[in-house]
Amino acid sequence: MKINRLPAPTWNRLKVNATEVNAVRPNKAAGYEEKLPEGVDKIHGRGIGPLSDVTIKTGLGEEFDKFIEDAGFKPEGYVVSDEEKIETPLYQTFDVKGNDASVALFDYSLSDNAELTVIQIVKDEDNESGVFFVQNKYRLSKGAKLTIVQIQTLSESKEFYNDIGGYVSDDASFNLIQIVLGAKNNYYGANACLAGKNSALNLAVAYSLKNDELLDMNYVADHNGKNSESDIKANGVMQGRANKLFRGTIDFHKGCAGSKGAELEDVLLIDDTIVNKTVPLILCDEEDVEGAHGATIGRPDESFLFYMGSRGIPREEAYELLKRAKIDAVANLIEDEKTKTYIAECLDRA
Amino acid sequence: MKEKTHVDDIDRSIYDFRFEDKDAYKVSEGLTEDIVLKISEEKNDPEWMRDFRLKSLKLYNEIQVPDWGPSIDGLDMDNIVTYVRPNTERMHTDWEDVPDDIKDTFERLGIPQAERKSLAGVGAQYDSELVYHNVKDEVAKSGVVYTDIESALRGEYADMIKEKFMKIVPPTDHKFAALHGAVWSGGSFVYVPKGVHLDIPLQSYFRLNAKGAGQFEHTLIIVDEGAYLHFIEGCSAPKYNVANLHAGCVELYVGKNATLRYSTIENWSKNMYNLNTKRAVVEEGGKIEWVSGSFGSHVSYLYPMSVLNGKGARSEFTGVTFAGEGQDLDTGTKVVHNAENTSSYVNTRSISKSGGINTFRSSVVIGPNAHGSKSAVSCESLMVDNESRSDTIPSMDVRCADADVGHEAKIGRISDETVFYLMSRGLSEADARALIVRGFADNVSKELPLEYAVEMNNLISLEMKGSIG
Amino acid sequence: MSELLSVKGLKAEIEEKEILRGVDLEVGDGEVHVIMGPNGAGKSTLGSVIIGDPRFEVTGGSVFFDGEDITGESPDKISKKGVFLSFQNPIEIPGITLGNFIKTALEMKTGERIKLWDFKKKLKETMEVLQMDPAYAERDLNVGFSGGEKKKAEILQLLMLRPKLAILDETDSGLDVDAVHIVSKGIEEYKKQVGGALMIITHSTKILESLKVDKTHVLVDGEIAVTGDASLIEKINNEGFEQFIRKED
Repeated sequence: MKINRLPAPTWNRLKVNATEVNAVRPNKAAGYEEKLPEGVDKIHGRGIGPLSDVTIKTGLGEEFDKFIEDAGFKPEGYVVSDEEKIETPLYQTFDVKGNDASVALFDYSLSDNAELTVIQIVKDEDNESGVFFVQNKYRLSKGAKLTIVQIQTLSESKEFYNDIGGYVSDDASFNLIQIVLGAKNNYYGANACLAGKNSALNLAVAYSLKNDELLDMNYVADHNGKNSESDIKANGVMQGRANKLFRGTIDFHKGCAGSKGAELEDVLLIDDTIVNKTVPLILCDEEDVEGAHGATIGRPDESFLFYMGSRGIPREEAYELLKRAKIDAVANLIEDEKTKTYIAECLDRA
Repeated sequence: MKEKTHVDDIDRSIYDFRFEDKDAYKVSEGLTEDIVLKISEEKNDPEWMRDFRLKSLKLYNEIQVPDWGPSIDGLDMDNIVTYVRPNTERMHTDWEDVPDDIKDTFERLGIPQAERKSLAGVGAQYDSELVYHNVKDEVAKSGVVYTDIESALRGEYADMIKEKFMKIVPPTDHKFAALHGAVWSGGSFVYVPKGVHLDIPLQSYFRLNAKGAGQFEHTLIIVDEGAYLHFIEGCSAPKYNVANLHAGCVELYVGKNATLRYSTIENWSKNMYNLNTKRAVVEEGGKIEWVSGSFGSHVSYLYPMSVLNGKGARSEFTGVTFAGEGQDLDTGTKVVHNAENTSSYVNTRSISKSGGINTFRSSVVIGPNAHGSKSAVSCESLMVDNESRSDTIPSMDVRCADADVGHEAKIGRISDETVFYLMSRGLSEADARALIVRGFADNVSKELPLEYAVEMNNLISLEMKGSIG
Repeated sequence: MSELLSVKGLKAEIEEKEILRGVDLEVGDGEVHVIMGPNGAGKSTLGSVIIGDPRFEVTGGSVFFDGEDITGESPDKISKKGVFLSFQNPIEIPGITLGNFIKTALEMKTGERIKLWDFKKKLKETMEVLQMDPAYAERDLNVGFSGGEKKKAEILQLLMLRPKLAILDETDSGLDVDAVHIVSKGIEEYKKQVGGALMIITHSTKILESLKVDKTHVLVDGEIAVTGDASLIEKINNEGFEQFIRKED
């Protein structure tokens, strides 16, 4: 199947328009540990709320969505009612075991002015070549705020499909923080339909890729509501023969007057054997908008390395510091101290 | 309630005149092997060229139309006349010998006047053939060759052409490159010898007069080691209610430490499908400078490409695209960094108005050998009203760690505050907007020779001028 | 006994332009040397070349430190041997905090992990000496620092890293009176705590007031024109460099 389709295609020979994958069909519901905070209702099946009928587009795309649906697994629904602001995060820890193709599907439904933070930790303790699919769909009513934090430290034999999509009403906001530290093949996609006025998407991803790791991304902010805002940031470090493709799209649809979108990518390249592709799109069908993107790609300049060197810090260690800095910049957006400590521990171990 | 500026469609009357096509010879519409053979015969091709055309035609029939850009459904090759020879026996070197209606066309476009004033040489193509070609004596004396490509094919430089013709843009590249290979006609050959620095520009002007016809001129320029050339290309056509096609091909060889500046002001009429391919290969220490203003055509696919093959080779691309009513202009650039310490600099502006669609498309590739290379791309888009569209589709592919790649894109509108400020200084709203848009496009206008900058600014002003209602 | 720093016939160029044309200089343990000279004489280049700035190419001569040839070594190796350069224009490094940077540098020097608590305490104390707001430890290195704060951050690193030789390149330039006073205090503190040698590149004498200067060198056109004792400083201040500049025949 083809996943991560670029919303507006470009030259086929660049091989960025979509990614062809040959995924095994999920054969097992993933097990996970969960700490469910008070005030969140969990139901088996789709989340029930005022926006239940809204169709959700996800980042990995329609073919993937159908593929998951055909496998016949049911999502877990989480519902937060009006005005409920859940302070304690919902923690979910996935220990991906064995050679299975396991799947976890979640459906979040937040009513007016509800707030929730979900922290998903994806890890493993073996070296088996398993596949893990996770899909998060969300529907946010007026003024609701959902934050999803994902930290992935799988071993280099695993394949990971991480698909997100949702609908954001007036004054609601969706925040997504992703830290990518492992797995052989990573397919990440996230779509936010900014339907309401003043709706917002804040997306930050940090990755550290080494050896033969692959990270294939597709992030889309669909601006439909007036004065909607999106902010997409990607920070990363690439070593070895790592392969990365970043697709980021700000799509201003007709009627989204007053909207703003910004995309920023910052990639540190360490070895000459990497393949680093970046495709940042701005599509604009509306006059009164502001869109911007920027990308900085490369090695730090010699004056940086010289300054570091003059303080006794060799090249490798200077890179290490920078790598840490890039990931910390994203990790610091996480409010939960416990999670920040967890990330620091993962980085120290690496 | 705030008053809106109504902006009229551009006044193209200065380009939109036409003469009955009294062409001496034209092939039938459509594209078959017979037609290609007829063109080949008519042009008295060497044998290798005839074979090349047939091979290209085969490729044309095999390659699919692009599935990623603006629609070209309105273009039906069965209705395009691929070869129209104007009613003049041969190419002239004196305007007095050019038939009156054709001469009149170029006079209205100001070409002979410009030649007298500020050009080192001029070539003028009318439909499928060059009708005029001339270089100043002192330029010719320095060894510079500027001629039509057909004469060059049979003359002193025949081998050079055979070696270089459609090597940078092979017919396999895409469907319209294959088409070009099959039916190309006209265009210029320029050779600037080692160390020759041409201070004044050469210009070619392409005029497509015949209804429902295609223009497929081939431009081949070789700037030898340490030489300098500024080449200016202008294009226009009257408007017909049927599709016209332009699928030219430009191949530029920039030698070691040589510099070529290639400027284009394109103002095809709005029934034109402009599917043009331009490419430069730059050797060590050489530099290609593209200056590109795209104002006309119904649909454009235009991405001048720089292949930086030698150490320290550089490319600069400065472009402006103005898409008005009924226009879908897909423009941009491609750069391939193939050697150490190469650099590319891209600066583009696009303006969308009255339902026009603008797409900026780019590709920067930094190969594994391009250590120490730099690339900076900056593109800005201006939405003049709420009926138009502007997309930015850049791509970067970096395979070398010590490269420095930067990219910036911005999209926005004319700020009310700026318009207000200018109006408070006494400008009308229309003048204020025109001034802002001209300023927005100054990346290109300040790179052009004065006469062309003035022409470009006039085009913008015409486009922006309207009644307040 | 060999000198701590021994520069012999050092020649260096940048982009094929020769800046140092044969510099000879010896600095003993704990000595204080002052380098003066007109603009463009190569003073900063000398400091940069000693620490191994890759922009410069050493075309002749040698630099020995602590008995070892460090000519052409990489800056981190030279730094680890105990040479420190306080930069005239320290660069800004977004993303890396001042505190984390110094900690890493210290760990590199000692080859051991440093306990965060001990480090923070020591850093805080040292920042107090320099009247620096402790919040600066959490700020990105030099990013948004004023000129004075950047120089203080350099001296902070000097005090934390405790090198055997500190080269101070115009550390006092562009600072107001108070800042010069604080920076001087920091240098004094370095002499007191570490007792290392100093090579001070300067235009002014304010920073030297509390130090006992052993030798003064005047660098003109890439060569040492004259070497003297502390009294040379006053002489130059009164008479300028004119006397040392070779007249064209």
